[in-house]
Amino acid sequence: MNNITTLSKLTIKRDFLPYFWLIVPALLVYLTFFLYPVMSSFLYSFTNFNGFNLNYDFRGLKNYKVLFGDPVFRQSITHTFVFGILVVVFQNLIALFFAIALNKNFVSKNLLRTLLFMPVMISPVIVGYIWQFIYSTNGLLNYLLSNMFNRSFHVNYLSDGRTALIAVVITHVWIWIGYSATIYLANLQNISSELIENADLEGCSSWNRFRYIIWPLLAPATTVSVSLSVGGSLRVFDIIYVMTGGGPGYATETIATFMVKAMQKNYFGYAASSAVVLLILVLLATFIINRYLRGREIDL
Amino acid sequence: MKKNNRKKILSVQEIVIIVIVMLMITPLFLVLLNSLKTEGELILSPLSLPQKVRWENYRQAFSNMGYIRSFTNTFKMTFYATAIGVFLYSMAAYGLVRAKSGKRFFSAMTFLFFLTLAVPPQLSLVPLSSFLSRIHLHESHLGVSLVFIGVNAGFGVFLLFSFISTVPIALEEAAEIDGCTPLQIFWHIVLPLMRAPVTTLAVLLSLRVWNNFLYPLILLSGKESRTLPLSVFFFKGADYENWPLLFAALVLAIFPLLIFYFFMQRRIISGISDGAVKG
Repeated sequence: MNNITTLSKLTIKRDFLPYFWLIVPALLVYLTFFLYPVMSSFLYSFTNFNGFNLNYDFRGLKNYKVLFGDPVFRQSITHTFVFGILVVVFQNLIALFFAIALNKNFVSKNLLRTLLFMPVMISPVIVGYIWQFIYSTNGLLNYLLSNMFNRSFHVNYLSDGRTALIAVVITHVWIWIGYSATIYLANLQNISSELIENADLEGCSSWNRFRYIIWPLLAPATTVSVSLSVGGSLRVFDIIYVMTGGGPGYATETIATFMVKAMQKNYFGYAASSAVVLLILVLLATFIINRYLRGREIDL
Repeated sequence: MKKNNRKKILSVQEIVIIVIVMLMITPLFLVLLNSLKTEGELILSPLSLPQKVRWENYRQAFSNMGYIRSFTNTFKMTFYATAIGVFLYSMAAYGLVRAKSGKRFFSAMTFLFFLTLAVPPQLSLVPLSSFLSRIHLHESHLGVSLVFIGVNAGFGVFLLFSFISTVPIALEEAAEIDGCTPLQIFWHIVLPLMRAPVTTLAVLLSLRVWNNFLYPLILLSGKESRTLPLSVFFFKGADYENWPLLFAALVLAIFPLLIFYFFMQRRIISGISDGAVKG
């Protein structure tokens, strides 16, 4: 490697510039269409920008003050976290179950994995409408319950404030189970079968085999899957916007839906400050979770 | 893994799992089944086969959602964002990994790209529509594609970065002695070696773009420029609670993706599995 202190014109020309030009096109698009808007969002979060007129005024921290004084926003922070915790726990537990179930010499293994993964492929808008039907007054859930208990059920689970949030959590989990299961399955297939056979020979019960052998060895997959589900669930937008629009009332409002709605009302400065709050929360949560999970990996 | 000859017979355990997976994806069959019914029939018996198959729903959904136009729009946007994106990301990833001097500069640039992985895409949304109209890319699919290329840059560069680091450098050094420039080496030697990860990346990127709802919702407001997810979204507004008709629209929107999935599923699964194993 060349030492930076001996950079001559020749090495710049030969060892630096050609590589520099290779990254320039991607860098330009990235800076212009992502980093620049992100930076301007930070700026706009201190202004009363309305989305179009560039003669905005700086209002200092006023947007943030109003934001945290707004009960709807405070609720949406709570909802975002409740949504996130439920999704992370159930998505990973159920995916783990399927991954372990599919990690056998089943004839139908590949077919089942393909089917399980299918919801990930479909646009959240489509999935949202499918589940909106299931939860509707004349929908599948009520139909099944009515047949099961022999009396009629007529609840719209998405317009009842007590069930709406759980209902969207179920839909979100349903989509992403296949994704997490694929991650766990890939990790399981890397665990040597000798190790597991040895445990069997030693007379290990299947719970102990899972608890003391498989689960610790799954640490890398757990890190990936849990971090992805934390990021994905805290910034959730599509599924909620399509299924409930944040309602009934504000029962399913999350930070992301709150932000888009503020934009649609032309409160762009306000929207920007809620996006900044979302960024900070996502960064904090990912950082804490990642530290914990990486620590687990090293303990092995 | 050992092959054993008894495995051709389904075990009880396997049947249980098959039933559970089938139950899990019932909602998808439900859509197909009920897209061919009348409204009344759907409400009375959502789980039975249609008494009389109503293809009419599909004809109506097809024209109501402007299927051909939305399909073309989505395809155009996905194609630009994926083709240009993959090309730019692979060039950049190569430059970042193999640069010989100015290490500190290039690691700062790598960090800059990877920054996106942590930033929620929503944060870039606020200034975008006014910005795009200032540079005359308002309501344009090319404009939205550029936005996608920007937002996916971290993901794309990251995926290829880790691959290029594993490619032995000897081949490139030989080419360099023969007088090839880095661009030539990239084009003639590295890119052909990267065919597998580049295809995986292209598949994953096109999925991300094709299915995206948030950016088109904010950046493409005109009816003419709607993508498939958008026209599905607005379809319901027009025909509220006519579920069979909506389901026909959903099936039409799912159809291209299922075909894509059918051909590309090994790439998709391996793309996700690789990330998991590397951790």
